[in-house]
Amino acid sequence: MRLLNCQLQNVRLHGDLDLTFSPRLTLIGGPNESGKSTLVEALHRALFLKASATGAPVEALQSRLHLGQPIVQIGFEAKGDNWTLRKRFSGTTGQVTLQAESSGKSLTGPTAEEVLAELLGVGEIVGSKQAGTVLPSRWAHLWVRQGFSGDDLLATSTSHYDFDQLRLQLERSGGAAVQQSVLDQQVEKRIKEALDENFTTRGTKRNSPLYAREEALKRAQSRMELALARLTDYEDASEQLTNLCEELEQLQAQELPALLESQKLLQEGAKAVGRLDSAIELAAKVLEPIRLRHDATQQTLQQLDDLQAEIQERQNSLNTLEANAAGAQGREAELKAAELQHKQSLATLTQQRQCLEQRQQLLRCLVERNSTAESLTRQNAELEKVKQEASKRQSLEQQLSGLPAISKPSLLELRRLEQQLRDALTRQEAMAAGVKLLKADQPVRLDGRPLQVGDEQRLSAVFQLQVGDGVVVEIAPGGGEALGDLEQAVQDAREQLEARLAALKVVSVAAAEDLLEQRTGLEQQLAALGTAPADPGQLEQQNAALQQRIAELDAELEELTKVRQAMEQEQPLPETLSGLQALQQQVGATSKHTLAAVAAGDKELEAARSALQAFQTQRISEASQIKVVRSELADRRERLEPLINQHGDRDALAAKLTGLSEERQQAEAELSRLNVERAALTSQDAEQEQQRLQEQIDALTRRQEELLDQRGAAKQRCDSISSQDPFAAVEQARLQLETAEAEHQQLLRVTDAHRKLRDLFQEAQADLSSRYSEPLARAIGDYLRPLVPDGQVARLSYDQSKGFQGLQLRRGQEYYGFEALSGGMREQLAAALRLSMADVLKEAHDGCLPLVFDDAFTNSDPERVDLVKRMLGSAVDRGLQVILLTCDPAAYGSFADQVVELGSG
Amino acid sequence: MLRLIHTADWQIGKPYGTVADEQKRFRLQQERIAAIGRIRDAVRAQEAQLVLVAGDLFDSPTPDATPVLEVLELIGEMEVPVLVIPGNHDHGAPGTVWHRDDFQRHQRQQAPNLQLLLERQPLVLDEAVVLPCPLLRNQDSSDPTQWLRALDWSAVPTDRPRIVLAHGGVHGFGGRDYEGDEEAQAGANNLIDLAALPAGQIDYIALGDWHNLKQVSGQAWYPGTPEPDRFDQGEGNQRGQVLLVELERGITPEVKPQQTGRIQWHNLKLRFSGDDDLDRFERQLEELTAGRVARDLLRLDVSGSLSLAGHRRYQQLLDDLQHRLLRLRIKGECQQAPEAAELEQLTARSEDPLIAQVAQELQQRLSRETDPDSDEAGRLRTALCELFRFTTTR
Repeated sequence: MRLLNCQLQNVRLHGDLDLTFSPRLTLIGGPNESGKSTLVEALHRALFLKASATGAPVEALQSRLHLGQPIVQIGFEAKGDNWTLRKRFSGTTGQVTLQAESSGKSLTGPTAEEVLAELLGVGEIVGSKQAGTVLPSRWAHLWVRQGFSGDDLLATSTSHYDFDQLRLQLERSGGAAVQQSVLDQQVEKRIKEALDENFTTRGTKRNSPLYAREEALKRAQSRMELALARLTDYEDASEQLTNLCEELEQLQAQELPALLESQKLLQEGAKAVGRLDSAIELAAKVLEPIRLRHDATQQTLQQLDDLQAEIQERQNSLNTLEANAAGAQGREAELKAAELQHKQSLATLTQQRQCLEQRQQLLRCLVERNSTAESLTRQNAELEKVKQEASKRQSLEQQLSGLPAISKPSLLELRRLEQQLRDALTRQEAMAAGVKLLKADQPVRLDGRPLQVGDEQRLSAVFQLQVGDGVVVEIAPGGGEALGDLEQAVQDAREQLEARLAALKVVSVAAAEDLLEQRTGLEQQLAALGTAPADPGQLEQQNAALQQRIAELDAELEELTKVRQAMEQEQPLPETLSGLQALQQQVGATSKHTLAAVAAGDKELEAARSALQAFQTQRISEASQIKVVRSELADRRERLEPLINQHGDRDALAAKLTGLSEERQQAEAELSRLNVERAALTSQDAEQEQQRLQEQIDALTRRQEELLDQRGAAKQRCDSISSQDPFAAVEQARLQLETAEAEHQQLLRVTDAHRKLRDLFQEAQADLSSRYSEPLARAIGDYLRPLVPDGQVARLSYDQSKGFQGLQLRRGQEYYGFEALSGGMREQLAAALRLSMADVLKEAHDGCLPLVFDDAFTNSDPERVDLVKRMLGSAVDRGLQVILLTCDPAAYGSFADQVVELGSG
Repeated sequence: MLRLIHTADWQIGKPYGTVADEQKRFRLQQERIAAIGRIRDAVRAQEAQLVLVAGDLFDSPTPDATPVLEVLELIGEMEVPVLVIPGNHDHGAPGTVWHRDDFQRHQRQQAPNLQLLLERQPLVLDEAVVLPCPLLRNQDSSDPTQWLRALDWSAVPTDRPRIVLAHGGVHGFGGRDYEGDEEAQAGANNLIDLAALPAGQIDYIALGDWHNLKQVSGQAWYPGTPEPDRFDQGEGNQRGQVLLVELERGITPEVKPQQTGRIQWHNLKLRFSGDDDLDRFERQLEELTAGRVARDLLRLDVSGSLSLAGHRRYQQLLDDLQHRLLRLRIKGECQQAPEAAELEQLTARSEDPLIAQVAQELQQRLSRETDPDSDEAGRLRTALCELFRFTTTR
């Protein structure tokens, strides 16, 4: 189907528009409001809306600018013929004519609409009722209305893209691609039902056949376990019974008879015991005298031996004591000598000590005397000095008192007064008139006195100058009458000064200054002598005390003269104090050593003394001991003698003892033999033994009864289990288990098979759907190829009832859903999808379908417009017709085969 | 010359718990008792002077009272001394049948000729000296003939044959090695060391435990069970007889088997690889059971698979067999799988592309399976069968 031309009359702003379409690409340009969308709408309504339709879709076509009803006429190719369709939309009176070029025959009314529908490949031409719902879906996959270019076509229902025709064409082009049949679906459903019978989403369904078999298997398993447990029970009971029987057998056949036998023997033994007892008695009687004699002899021998041993022992101790006594005198002398020696040495030491003490005393006196003498000398010098200072101070004080008592303030006053006088004189001088005689040829007289040439006078009072005799001049110096005051002031000042000088008994100020200087010198000398002169009385007292001490020390030294002489013999005594002090220290150290030596000597002497004392005490005690031992020795000898006289000597006694010993041994052996025999017959207490045996027998009898009871119980247990034949039960349980396992296994295999079938059906369905979706996806890929360099570009899924879905585009490694793409990309992908669909569908329309894009790439970048152009170009090359409406025709340049400009008027 | 019947392993009271049908179970149990009647007949016919039962007279140490009574009655009818030792199944421990009051009472009344030998000491009879080796405990691993090694043979009479009566496997021949029979009960592990016995002192060793006829040495024999109770143990197994033994001191015994068995136990192993094998199976069944009803047991070891139709026929056959045989035990499984024509019904459904594709996929996977008996192969075949069922039935 291909659009050839169109004429619009009275369609909104188009009064009369006449267009011819290129069989390939027609570009219709024009600014907004130039009627591009109206053109598309009018064409769409003419093709798909009945001419007799009423309501909004028709009213929308009516023009307010141009009188008359909207008329749309379209020339197109379809089904091998050229057609002219003309529709006048005037509500119910609307008219349609469809004319085929070949036959020239013109169809009108419903027939025309029917034929039109067939030519366009739609079910019917839409009337008013469906105008709202169906009309927009007509060729929605081919014609993109303004503003809808970015919509996902596949998100709408299948009627929007002629799904049935699309599928048909895909099946045709795909060859073997066929639909799943009703039976396919039924079988799939039955598989699902079969699975649902046994399973829920969570596992085996309760009370299903599989559940029943699982339960049966569990029951059979537990029955088997139970049967095995019962068999084990039986075997245990049987084993226990066997053990009980064996124990009983042991008890009855061996233990009990043995005890009874012992009991019998015990009773028989009692008689033999009686016989033996008398024999033992007899043997004991025989033994007794032998034993007595033996013991007596042994005792005597022992006595003899003891005495001899004692004698020997005492003799030995006597010998030792006597030897000690012999050496005692010498030893005592030794000890005494030692004591003496210690005494002497102690005496020497004591003497030394005394001598040292005297020397120490001497030295101490000497030292003190020396130091006291030194102190006295110093003290005397001091006293002398104090006396000199006192006389000097006295003379100074006398000089000072001789001078007028002039002080610094009085001197200052004198100076002030003098200054005052001088000031008065100066002022007087300043007011005086100077008179100098430079040249005279006559005597000149001044106030009576001649004045010589060169004489110069200063006069402060009115004076008369007389030259010769004829001339007398009175001259008054400046100041006038103040001169008199000045004179007075000078007078006063002079008087004050003189009065003050007279008061101070000096002649002049200068003299006063000299005097003051003189006074100050004396006062300084006095100050240098110190303020408080030492009290010589006290010093004299001290001197007296020191002299007294020296006298005492001299007296003491007098007493020690001998000592001093002795020392001086050894070495001359030093003169100086320090020498004496050093010697004193030396003697002190020696004295200390001597003192320690004296203490040690004292101790040694004490030790020697006590050693001597101890020795003496011991000697006395040993002496008495010797006496005792001697008497004891005599006593023992006395006692030994009668013994030997009575029993003979030791050897004889020993021989006798040996004889008796043998005799005794024999008798004792006989007795013990009899006792052993007696013991063998019975334990000591036959009665107790008898009782013990009886207790054992009773215990065994009780045990026997117990065992009999236990055996009875075990036997009953055996019998009760065996009456149900545990062996048979196990066999039966095993059979049931086997059966249950087999049945369970079998059903399990069937359900496994069902699962497998379900999976395979799903796989097959997926495979089937890909036969539909693949060619479309591939075609989309071809259109968009430059965007996605290699591999698959787009993919989409197919469902028999739901149609195509899930269009996705690959960017990089990922696939993105339509909604996830940018506006521009959505436009391009949607366009590619439409072109791909048209490619498939065109086969049913003589190899061509018109695609209309009304401002469909407004979101595409200028760079992407190249892609769009290539895409559209490729579509045109494949035989499709493209009508591109745009407000920016320049963007597409000279790309179109035909360009139409709207809106110019 | 002494003529005696040597028998063992009567296993009276064997529960046949693996036979599900109660009536058939009873029938099998009854047949074991009936076999004693046939032994009695043999005793009479052969004029035997002595019967030796070498252990396992009862199947368990605790048989029911009724079969015990029946056994005693039949033994009583033998009228000659019947010497019995307990074996591992019916060992002589206290609490077992031998010590039960009812047994002892009825034995005195009904079978005074029965002599139970529970002690290991020589029994001197007019005709022979019997050296019994009873098993006295459940778990007894010692050699029951051990006591003979220390026996003072000079005290044994030399004028009559000496017979050892014992139960158990022998060294070098594991009597209870019932390989391949998973139903065999585990027995005691006592082994008899025949070589340790002084051969010159003994004339005959009457053994029990091995259920097939077996001559172990010149003097030692297993008679086998008088009535078979298990499926075949392999080639040359002879069951269902007692031994007639002619004995004289110092002379090798004459031994002749006497048939007593009635019920037949068969083993059949089949691998189905096509429906033709079904015909072969039918022929084999015919040969084995030849019109006998309720006198045969069959263990069928099957593998392989049949077509869906073939499998239906196979099931039919099995159902028939279940009725005709005392027991049909099936080991393994004959699976079903659509055969070529059946498969084509699925794979060639161009109008139902999903079914066809799934069927093809299953078929391909099955052909790739190297082990036809693997679980996966089983699942695949079952899936095909189920697909066939879902597709062809409503």
